Amino acid sequence: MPTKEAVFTAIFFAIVTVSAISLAISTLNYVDFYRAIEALSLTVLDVSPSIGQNSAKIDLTFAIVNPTRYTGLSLREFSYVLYFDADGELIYVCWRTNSYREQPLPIGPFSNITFQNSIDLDLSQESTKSFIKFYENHTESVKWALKCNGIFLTFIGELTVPLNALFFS
Amino acid sequence: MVIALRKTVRNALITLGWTILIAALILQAFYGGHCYTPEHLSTYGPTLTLLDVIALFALSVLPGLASFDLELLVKMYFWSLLLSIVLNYLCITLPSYLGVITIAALQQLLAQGAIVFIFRSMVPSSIICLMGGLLGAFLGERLNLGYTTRS
Repeated sequence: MPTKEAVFTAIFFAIVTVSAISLAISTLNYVDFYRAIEALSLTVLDVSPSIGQNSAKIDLTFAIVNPTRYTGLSLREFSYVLYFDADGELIYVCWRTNSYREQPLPIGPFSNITFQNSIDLDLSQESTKSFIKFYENHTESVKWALKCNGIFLTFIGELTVPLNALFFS
Repeated sequence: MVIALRKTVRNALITLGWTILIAALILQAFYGGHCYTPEHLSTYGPTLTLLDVIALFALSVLPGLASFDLELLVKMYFWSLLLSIVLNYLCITLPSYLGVITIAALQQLLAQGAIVFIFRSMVPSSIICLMGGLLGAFLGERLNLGYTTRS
């Protein structure tokens, strides 16, 4: 029968082993945090403008990608500006903010969050007019640029990460 | 000779175990981010919460129970504290050593942040760990675990 001493020593070393393993896992995840912040990327999956007589709309599909194994990132807010490239000049089309302050969206390791936004353009705006004019002449080759700021909730608090992407349609 | 060697190895392992327990608890608080609550950051900078301190105290009772000599316990405590400071610093600044952070200013910022966090965490932890260890030794005596003093 094991002595009390042996039992307490065994309990102690069992707790130490569990702590050491959990510390190693957490430390590796912590190192990945810095990799994740640098590697976070934005991918535009689709931009589909539909222009009518009295309305103009853009269906935008994009994703924020975490290509690392880091666990612990959540998206709190996401503001973006959509531009189109008019022969080398970036023309502003619209901007939006998606807020998830109440319930931040977690981005797991090697995963992404996909967004589908439908944006109604204001036809009275000069930018919309110039976009429509340009788009009607270049329907087959429009270069889009999406510039955004993602506010992520991390273990050190809120962190703003700028993300940019280009898309050819 | 063999018994003395076994005791030395055992004591070294307990010291190492205590080091890991202290470092793991402090670092889990750091990685978990609960020491970065807005109130803490704005008023005091990052530090441990009351729950962390209680857990540290409870975990420090175990090495006290496992060591049966007051003088030895104090020696192990000092070594554990010293080693846990080194371990904490190495873990927090690990991204710099691994080349994940390459910008010198950020490396310096991380190193400075690590020193500040460890210092702030160690001020209550050092006393709490000693108290936990002493309680463990006292309980060890009460439970007849072989505790002896060298007075």
